[in-house]
Amino acid sequence: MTPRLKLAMEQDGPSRGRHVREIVQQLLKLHTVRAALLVAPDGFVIAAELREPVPLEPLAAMAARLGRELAASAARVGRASFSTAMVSADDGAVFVGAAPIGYVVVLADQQADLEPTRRAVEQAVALIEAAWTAPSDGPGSAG
Amino acid sequence: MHDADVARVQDALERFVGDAGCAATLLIDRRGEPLAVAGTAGGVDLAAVASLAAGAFSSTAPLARLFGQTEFSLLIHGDVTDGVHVSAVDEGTILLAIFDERTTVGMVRVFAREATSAIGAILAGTRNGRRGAT
Repeated sequence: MTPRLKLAMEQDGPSRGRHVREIVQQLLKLHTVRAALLVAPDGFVIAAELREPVPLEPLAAMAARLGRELAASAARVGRASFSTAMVSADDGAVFVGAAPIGYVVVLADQQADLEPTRRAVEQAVALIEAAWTAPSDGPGSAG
Repeated sequence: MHDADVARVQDALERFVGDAGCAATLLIDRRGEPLAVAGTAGGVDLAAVASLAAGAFSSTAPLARLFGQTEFSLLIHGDVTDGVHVSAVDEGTILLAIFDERTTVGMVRVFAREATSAIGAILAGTRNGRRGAT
């Protein structure tokens, strides 16, 4: 368990949902991030933090489809599933990270430093993974 | 059910409410009788919700059969931020989750999957134990 996750659990009680929302909130600390989401593989939004209004459902649907397609493509060529992906355009970039319960999605503006943003997505994925593999007597327990 | 199994089911429901951030959850039988409850949904008649949700769930079975399934395993009534999430636990029980703007239907789905699996295992163990005892 990472120190950051352990600290979050001690401070915030055993709700993994709350913890996941906080992980998504952390991504907005990067000032070039306009929106951060956790999206289920079928496109349902699990958690979303927006700095400004963005079309949430289309973004979630696009990210879920992209994530599924990347995972399927990796399997077809016999590779492990992707960890992060980036799609850029003139006005910004979308990052997608594969987490155990879905995809971490970050919408960044065109001034975003790509590498720090990618690392932040990876860190969010790692924290969600840690929350889902917590010891059986901790918040990760399913019964 | 043994008291220990009842307590385990209750623990699973409490954990589900805490993790998913839903207002309340009910384990009901297929007739709509509440078997266990966790959380509160102020002003909502949970017994009525249970009865109506069970009816709605069973009424979709003919539609499911048109798609080659015996029933749908999941129904969602409401919208993204308010509603009732209904999922089958096993052939005899259904898990209801009443949620509002404090969470999302996506979050409820993630943890409902876990809760139905955990509760289903407890109920299966109880049934197997009963069968073994007779």
